[in-house]
This record gives sequence, C-alpha cells and structure tokens, in this order.
Amino acid sequence: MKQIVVEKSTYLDSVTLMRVSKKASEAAGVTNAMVAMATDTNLALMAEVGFDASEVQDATANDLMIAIDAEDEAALESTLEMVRGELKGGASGGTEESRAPGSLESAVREYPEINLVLISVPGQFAAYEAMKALRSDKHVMIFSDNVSIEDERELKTVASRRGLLLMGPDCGTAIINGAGLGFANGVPVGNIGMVAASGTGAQEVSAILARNGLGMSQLIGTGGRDVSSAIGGVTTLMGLKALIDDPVTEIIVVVSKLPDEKVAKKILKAARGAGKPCIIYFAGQSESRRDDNLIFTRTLAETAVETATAAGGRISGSAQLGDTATDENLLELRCTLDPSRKYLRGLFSGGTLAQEAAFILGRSFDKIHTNLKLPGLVMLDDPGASSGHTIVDLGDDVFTRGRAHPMIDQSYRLTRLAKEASDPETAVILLDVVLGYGCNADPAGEIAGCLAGESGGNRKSPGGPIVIASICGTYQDPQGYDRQRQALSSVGVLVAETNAQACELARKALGGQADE
Amino acid sequence: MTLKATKASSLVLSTLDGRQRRGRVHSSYHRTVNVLCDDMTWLSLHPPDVPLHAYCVAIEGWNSSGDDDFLGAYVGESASVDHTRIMLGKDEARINLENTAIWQSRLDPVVGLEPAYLDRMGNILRGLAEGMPTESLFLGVMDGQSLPAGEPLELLILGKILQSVSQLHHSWISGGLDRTLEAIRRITGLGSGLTPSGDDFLTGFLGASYCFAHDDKFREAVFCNIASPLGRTSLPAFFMLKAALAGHYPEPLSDLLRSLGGGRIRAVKSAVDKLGGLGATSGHDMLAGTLAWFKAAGFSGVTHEANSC
Repeated sequence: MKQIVVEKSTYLDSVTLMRVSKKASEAAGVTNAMVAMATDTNLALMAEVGFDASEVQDATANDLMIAIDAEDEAALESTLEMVRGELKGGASGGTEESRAPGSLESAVREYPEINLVLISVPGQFAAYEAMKALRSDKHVMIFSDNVSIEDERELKTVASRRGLLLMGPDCGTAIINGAGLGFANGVPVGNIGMVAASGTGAQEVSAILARNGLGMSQLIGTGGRDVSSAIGGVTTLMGLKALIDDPVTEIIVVVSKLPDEKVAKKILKAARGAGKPCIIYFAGQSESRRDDNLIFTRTLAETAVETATAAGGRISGSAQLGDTATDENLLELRCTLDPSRKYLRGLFSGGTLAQEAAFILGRSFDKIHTNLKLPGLVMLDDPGASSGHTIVDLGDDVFTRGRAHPMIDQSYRLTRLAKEASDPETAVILLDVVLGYGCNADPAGEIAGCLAGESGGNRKSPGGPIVIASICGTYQDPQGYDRQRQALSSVGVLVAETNAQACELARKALGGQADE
Repeated sequence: MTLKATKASSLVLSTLDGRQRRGRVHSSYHRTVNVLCDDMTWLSLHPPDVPLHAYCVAIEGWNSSGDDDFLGAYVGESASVDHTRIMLGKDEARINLENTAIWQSRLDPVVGLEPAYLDRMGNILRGLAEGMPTESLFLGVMDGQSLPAGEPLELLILGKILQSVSQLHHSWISGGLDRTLEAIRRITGLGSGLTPSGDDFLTGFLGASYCFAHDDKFREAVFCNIASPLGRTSLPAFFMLKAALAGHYPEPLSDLLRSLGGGRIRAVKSAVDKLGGLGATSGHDMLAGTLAWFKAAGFSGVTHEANSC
C-alpha cells in the first residue's frame, strides 16, 4: 500500500533527507520510500508510479513529502513514525538508546517539556549558547566562566524582558525543584529558600543546614558579578521575588560576595517587603544585627544558625562554638610549633570561603596578602608566591586557565600545599574541602596523601606547620562526609565544622587578637 | 547579542541599502538560516566555514561545531534588514554588516575560447567525473527510455532526470528553444534533496552556458520559464536558479568554471574535488550539469533565439 504524507514548511538539509530516505527504504516491510520536497515534478512522478497525489493537493514546493510504499498498514505506520522521529530529531547517529541531542535546538525539539538549560561550555561560546536558550524561552544556568560583563548584561536584559531566570555566568551551584545543578551537595527538600551571588557561600550555608536536618525549597545562584554596579542585581532581585512568591518557602536567605552599595540597597528594599524572615549575609559585613524581618550576619556559619532558628530548628553546638577536643589538640600543636614559624597560608578552592577567611582574619591581623580584590587587604604581586600572611583563592581565573577548577582538579593546590608545608616561615595552613556532586571524588584523601608523603615537606617533623581544614559538605554527598573527615584527621589535620570556625582556630594558633 | 558578518556576497551587499526591509525567517536548518524579506530579498546566514554562494552572509562567532541552529532563530521569527545590520526577533540577535568583506559572487564570462579547447576541457571533465555517485547523470543521454517499473524511487527520479536531460541535449543541439525550455521545466524541482537534484543539475548547466556561451536571451527565457509559476521548486532552489541566471554561482562551481576557462588541469581537478563535496549530492549534480552542457553544446557556435515570455 502506498501513501504520501506532507509536513508543511519543513526544511532539512539534503544530507539529512537522503539519510532518512535511505533508512525508510530499508525498513522492514517497505518496498519503496522517499523523503523529498513536494515540488510539482516530484508529485507528478509519485502519481506516475501509483501514489495518490490527490491526497496532498495542498502541498507546495516548500513542504516536505514522505512517500512510502509498504506491504501492509502496520509497516507503513511504523515507517512513517520512524521517519517523523528522525526528522524531528535532526541529523544524528547512534542507536535510539545511545543517542543524545546533538545541539541545543534538537534537545529543545525532542524534549519540549524542559524549561531550564544548563550551559557548561568553554567561556567564549557560553553567551552564544545562553542567548539561544533564552530565545527558546528556557531559564538558563551558566556554569561557565570567562563570559564578558557586556554579554552578561545583555543576556540578563533579554532574560528579564522574557520573564526568565538567568543564573550566572560562573554560577557554581543551584538547587531547583529538588534537582542539584553544578557543584551541588546532597541537601534535603525543605522550607528554606536561598538566593546566592556566591557558589561556595551557598554550599556552606546549605550544607551546615543539611547536616542539621534542615532542607531547601529552592537555591537560586546568580553568579558573583550579579551584585556589581554593572549588572545591578538583576537575577538576585528576580530570584528574591520568586522566593517571596513561592508558598513553600517560609524563610529566605540571601548570600552574597561583597555587593555594590546601590545594589545592596535595592536587595534590602525588596527583602524588607518580603513578609518572611530574611537572613542576609553580605561578605564583609562588620556587625550582626536585626532590623524588622531582616537579620544581618557576619559569617556563613552564623547565617546558617540564624536561618535554623527562624525555621524552628537548631544547629549543633560544635558547629557554632567548636569543640573542646579540637581546641585541646590545637593547644598541644601550638606548644610544639617552631617559634620561627610566623605566617598563615590559606589555600582555598572556594572563592567565598577565601573571602570569608580574609574578612575574619583581617580583623585580627594587620596585613593579609591575597589575590582577592577586597578593601583593606594587600594584593599579591604574584598569586603563585606567598608573602607573609597569605590567603589565595585558587579558583581565580589565573589558576584555572587550561585547567579544571580546584574543586575538581587539585593538582595545583597539592603542589602549592607541599610548597607551603616546606616553607620554614609557615605556621598555619588553612584549607577548605568542598564536597558534592561534580566535585573531586576524594579531595581529603588527596590532601592527606600529600601531607603524609615526602611532598608534605616539614609536615611530619616536630615543630612543623599546623594544618586546619573545614569540610563543606553533607552526609549525603558522594565523597562521604565522615570518610573525608577521617582522612584528614588521620594525618593530624585539625578539622573544623565550618569555615568560620577553622578561621577562628587559625587565629588562635597564630596568637592573633580575638575579634570582639 | 551582536555578531559580526565577516563576509557577504556582492549580490547581497549590492541589494541592501538604507531602506529598512521587513521580513521573516523563512527556514532554519543545519548551519543555515534563510531570511525572506517582503520585497523578495533573500539572505542565507551561515557560520564562517560554509561554502560561499550568491546569498551568503558568513557570521563570525556562530558556534557551528556540531550545532544546527543560530541563536535560536525559528521559522516565522520577524527580521529587519538594512545595509548596516540584520536583526532577528526583538533586538536579540543582531548581525553587524558594517565593514564586511565582499565576496564577488558574480562570475565573469570567459570569451574567445576555441571550440577545440572547450571540447578538450569537456573530455577532461568527463574523465575526472567518472566514478562519482551520480555518474549515470554524467553519461548524459538515454534516448527514448521509459521509467523502469518496480525500481527504487531514487532510480525512478534519476531515470526521469535522464529523460529530460536527453531532451535538453537534443533540443540544445538542434537549437529548438521551446523544446529546451520544456526540458528545463521538466527538470526543475525534480528529485530529492532540499535543492532538488534537477535544480542542481540545471545550475551547473546554466553556469557553463553563462560562462562560455553568453546567451542573455536564452537566460531571460529560462528565467521566465522557472519564475512562472514561482512555486515550481523549493524557495532555496528557486533563488539558487535565479542567481545562476544572473551569473552568480556557489563558490565551488564558480571555481570550476574559472579553472575550465584557465586550462590548468591541476586547478580543474582540485575544483572538481571541491565541488564534489558540496551538500549531499548537490555538487555532483552541478558537475553533471556542467558536463552535460559541454556535451550538448558541441562547440559549433550554437545560440538560441529567445521566445518572448
């Protein structure tokens, strides 16, 4: 039996048409098949060989014609379905099971129900791909970095006009409707919503909450530059509004790197009208205070504590104050520390954690050298070489060109760790260990291996530097929180519950003035 | 987002002026977005590495590695075009045309070639074309054959093209313009492919005719023949034929025709190989059309009196 079907205004390149034509001709039970443009001459030819062209009288030369001659109706129908599937999916290879969409366009066509696109491509292509997704009316998360500020501004303008959320660029993490995106920790679902212009800041707060049984409704990442004057907090404000409108979200957390002053005011104005408790962490904030429904905090750990309180839960005492055993261990280590060792060396994989450390320790020590662009700190001439008290964000572009982020690939951090451990002036090494999906499979194990091995330098000899680390992660993370903790403890690393607490231990170890 | 057009055809850049044209995305497929303006201006947007042709605008920054589409352009999306930029949608995708390099799409006819020279070139071309997928088209003439029953549809189409090619061959030799036009009408829009094989074949035939025979009246007559009715073939193919009749050809075909005029065998071979890589079978079909003209022309100085159209 013969049938011609017309797909109106359908254009596919010749290579695809030929491929589909051939596949249809070879299908079981098919005698003859052709997929071609429905030109007059093609239709006339089909009529000549017995097809009923009158069935497709309305066809024009700009429509696609599928002509199938099959042994029976079943073969005809199945071949037609196959052809339509091939045309819908576009040019692709592989089996049905193994086939992945070859482009954003074909993904959108094959899975029209998708409403969010995660972009993780080299930076120079990220804006282009994001614009495609926005123009397909999809929300977007850009995991990629190295996107220009001009492109970010334009993308956010388009997103805002279309009522779409654009998270990023350089958006490390998000949790949307229970699905973790990017570097996401195993976090339960709950009633706390977060909007974060800070990837590891969001991870630190949500992980502390998760370890204490509290979960997230949504975690909306914005990318660190969203709170700059150039971008104006577009995504932060959209995310805040979404959380205000979300009936599941009862408590809102705003976590941000140091924001532009005007942007901060806009965020606070929106939060003030939320009608829900809003816990605000702007990095560098010098005091904790309350102002109506707004609760301002100075550290990420304090943010988690205040959030838990607002949610009717509580954070364990050790997370808030540290534990006695760790303090005693520190005292012991301090007694054996060589007096010629004077300096702190902070090697961070998380930018916000590095920033938090710089702010906390900057209150106790005069001069901290860093590659972070923050007021009151001394910029390192060469981020690859420490000088005096040093805190380095190893996730900075200068360290990640041609290499994965240190939360994935620790090779540079381990080299630097060995170098700092061998430096006779190093008194304290401060580390963050970030867990979660997409992160290094065993970061603590690698650090422990480095410290225990020859490359660990003076670490094993008496009087060597004190190593302090915090673990940003949950019991549900694939690396295993307890296993990571054990790996660090086994080589004498002091493990703190939070980054703030690790900083406090470092201050004590160095004899710095307590921050009142 | 503004992307830069690195190169555009002379036909496109000479058509666009200060007037703002309104239009729509007519079609979007693998590495191609076609824009049709209300005044029938046609533009094809491509990534930079696509072979140039009469309506091409090559765009820097179009990420085309394994990628079908261009900034999410969709069929029916609004477009506005002037000599400085092409804009799709609500100011979201902009292509800057300022300081765009011009690719000269119009081919200069070759004059003063001896029939013996063209005869030799035809033979060389024939030798180079042997073994190509559409070889049967190169063989040219199949007198009086009928469609073989029970053969695959592709073969039936091929047979049909061969019949019309045969008619074209004989009518060209005999100088019968009406019969030539009838053959061209039968070939237009025939075959599979986005630009059907018959149209690709005709483009090659017309290219050789334009380059070596310079018969303006004939081309005018052919244009009337395919333009009425306009819907004889797909719109991309229609515009390809329209450009061909005005002397604008895809770069690989232009290179072949120039090399045939230049007489350097190595250049001809290189051009044949390049043309063979164009599209699925488009390049081979154009090559077959070029060869068919060499065969049919016979180099006896045949020209045609154009009918009024």
